[in-house]
Amino acid sequence: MNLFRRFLCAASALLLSFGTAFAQDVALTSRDGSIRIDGTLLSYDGEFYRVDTVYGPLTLDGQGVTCEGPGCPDLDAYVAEITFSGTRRMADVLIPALIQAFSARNQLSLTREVIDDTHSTFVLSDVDRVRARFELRATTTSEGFADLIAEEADIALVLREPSKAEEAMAEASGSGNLVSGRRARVVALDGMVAIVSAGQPVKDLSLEQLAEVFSGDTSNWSAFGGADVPVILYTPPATAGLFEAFQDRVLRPYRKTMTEEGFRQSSLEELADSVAADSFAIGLTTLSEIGNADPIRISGSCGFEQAPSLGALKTEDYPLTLPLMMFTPARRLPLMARQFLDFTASSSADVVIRRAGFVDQAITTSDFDTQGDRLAHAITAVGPEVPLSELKRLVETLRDRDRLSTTFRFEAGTKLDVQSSENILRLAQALETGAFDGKTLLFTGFSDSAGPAGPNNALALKRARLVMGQVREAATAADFSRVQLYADAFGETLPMACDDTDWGRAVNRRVEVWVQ
Amino acid sequence: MGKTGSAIFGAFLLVCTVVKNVWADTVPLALPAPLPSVSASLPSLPQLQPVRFQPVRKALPAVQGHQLQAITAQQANISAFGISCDMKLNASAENDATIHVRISAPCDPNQTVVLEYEGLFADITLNMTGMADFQIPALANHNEFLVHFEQHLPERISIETPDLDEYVRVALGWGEEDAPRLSGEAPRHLPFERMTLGDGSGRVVQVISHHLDPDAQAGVIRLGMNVGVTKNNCGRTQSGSVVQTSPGLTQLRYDLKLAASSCDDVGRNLQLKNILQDLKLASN
Repeated sequence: MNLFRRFLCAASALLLSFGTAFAQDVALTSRDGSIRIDGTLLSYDGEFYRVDTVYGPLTLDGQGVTCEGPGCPDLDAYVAEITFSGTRRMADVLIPALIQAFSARNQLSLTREVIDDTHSTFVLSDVDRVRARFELRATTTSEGFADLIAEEADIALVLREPSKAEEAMAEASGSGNLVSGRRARVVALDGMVAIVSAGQPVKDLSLEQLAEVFSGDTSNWSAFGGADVPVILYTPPATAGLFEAFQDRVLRPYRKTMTEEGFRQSSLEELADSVAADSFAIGLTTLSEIGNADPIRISGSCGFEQAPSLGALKTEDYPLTLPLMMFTPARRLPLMARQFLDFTASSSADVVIRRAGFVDQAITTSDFDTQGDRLAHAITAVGPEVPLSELKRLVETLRDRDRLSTTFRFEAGTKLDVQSSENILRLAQALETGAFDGKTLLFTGFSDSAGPAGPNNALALKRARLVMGQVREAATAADFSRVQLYADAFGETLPMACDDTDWGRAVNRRVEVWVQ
Repeated sequence: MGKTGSAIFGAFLLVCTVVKNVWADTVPLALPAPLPSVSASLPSLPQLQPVRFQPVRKALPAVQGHQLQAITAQQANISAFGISCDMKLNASAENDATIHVRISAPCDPNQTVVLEYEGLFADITLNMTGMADFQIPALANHNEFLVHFEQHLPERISIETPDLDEYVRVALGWGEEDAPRLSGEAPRHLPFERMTLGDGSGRVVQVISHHLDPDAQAGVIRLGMNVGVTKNNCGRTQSGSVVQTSPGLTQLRYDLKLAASSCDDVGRNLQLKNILQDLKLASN
């Protein structure tokens, strides 16, 4: 009965249109013989059959049925074929490193078949035979989405969420809604950074100044307090996701576009090497690819500065974080692909991610004593809107607690950004594994200082409760008798950035988690 | 009986064998002189008795068949330089997490042996006395070396290298001629060494090694491969293996296969910059 129910339950949603003319090349019969489905085998992923039937395409659990007919696959010779396509930021280093670690963890031997610098196939084998082939194509974020939508890739490697046009294309082609469900996973974090050589004395710029430099409006270092020498500009390939993201998040808010005057580099490695060798140069790259150059800190008019450190990226305190994401199709992926995806979210993968030069999402803690700079800023923020009593309450509440690296930020209103959505799942998973048993978690809301303090504090508390509720909802297997969750808010009390810019206000609108 | 005694006794047996053969065949001692061209009367010769050689009658020591075989084998177990043919493999840990390996196979002069280490293979040609002596940068704390000979069983040796934690290393081993060349680029404050093991005509192992300096700045050593397309490697898939070791991290090991280059591209040099993971070094 169980098998029969499993068999029926496994028959899944309609994925393709009706009316396809097909040959009846497989007959799948339930183990008790009561149900038989005829159709054309579309795929077998080592676990499930996908069959085109008179009812449309159905997905059937291989354990619940027997297969007869010329189209039946050889169950003992199945090799999972998985294609990755997308940004070189992930395909060059991160994904190969994760595949290598995944292979070693599963005691599979690995051979990388190199077709050229941008195209490889990883063959994973056990002592008996080949188990999986992971094809990796290093292209761009846009091509990754295009390949996913065209079903030419199983996993898209991307640096941004899909554009409206890509979402529409996916819907129209039957690839489903790209932004609903769990189709996006943040694998690791990176950051957009401007870099200069070790010999360049200017080491911090505001986002507005960065926009001026990369738009070509300012072309002399003296404008930023440096020597009276020209700025030599190095820019990433126009096809890179980084280029698009910088355009969206830094240039567009100041109504500027990337200048054509700079030296356009074919890769970020070349760009970093060129900048490191030229004292007049500035370049745009990612934190994982600064090479031997120095990263620029982002400064604000009120004196706040954010260095693109690993910690600041993990907490999203640095404003230009760049989540590295994998998008999956609406259909079920082969078992080996699903195992690989699960592996990328494991603590074993966190080590690999750090080793590859990226920022992992493992939850770490920092104690109250390390918050000195932030408290100094808090003291400067005290005024009519933020009374000293509120600052005292903050210190008394947080003094004996540690801050988790898991921080939640919002795109607009109460909509979490993609990195924070992933953080909900990470924190829920930690609760389910009992990582915080016997402790209390305080979800602490903060706001920007735009508008009156009272409503800001109310909104901060609303966000804290919202996040706490989402974590509780996601942690279905957690034992909440062993861990206590609370929400509180301190409004404008503890700013992380100046509130005179959009990005500064976005950094300040957040929910932090403090543990005791 | 000592080795010198064995040799003398062997020579004695050889002489006895020759003498015995001469005796048995009763061959004439010399050829007759050619006949004179002018006929003349010859004096009559006296009647002579045919000469007979007497065999040496000295009694030989009683030698059993199996003892004879052992003696012969022992005699063969000496090289042309008078060194015992016994094969030896020695290894000692040196400074800088390197291992000094000595191979001795005196009766296999000029032969090529295969050194197997951490899944990598290098062809080593022994010198005319059957010796090879070289240093290998360690890729593990516990090291096992296996030397494969053409006509003998392999020799194995293990050794520990406790100071490996001060090094970051990448080794690339190839199985064919004209193998891709491991390349590294780094700023001056991140010096590295490049070493090659093997004769170059067969399997080689190339290693890039960086000593971690606690006072050094952060930086990157970029790794790449230069593939020169030659008539030896064009049209063929090239197979290799990569081993990477970093302190505190599990050793990384995988195989590589490079797609065949067209033989129309002979003479070209291909650069692969994204196949090997650069060494990213954080400051302490």
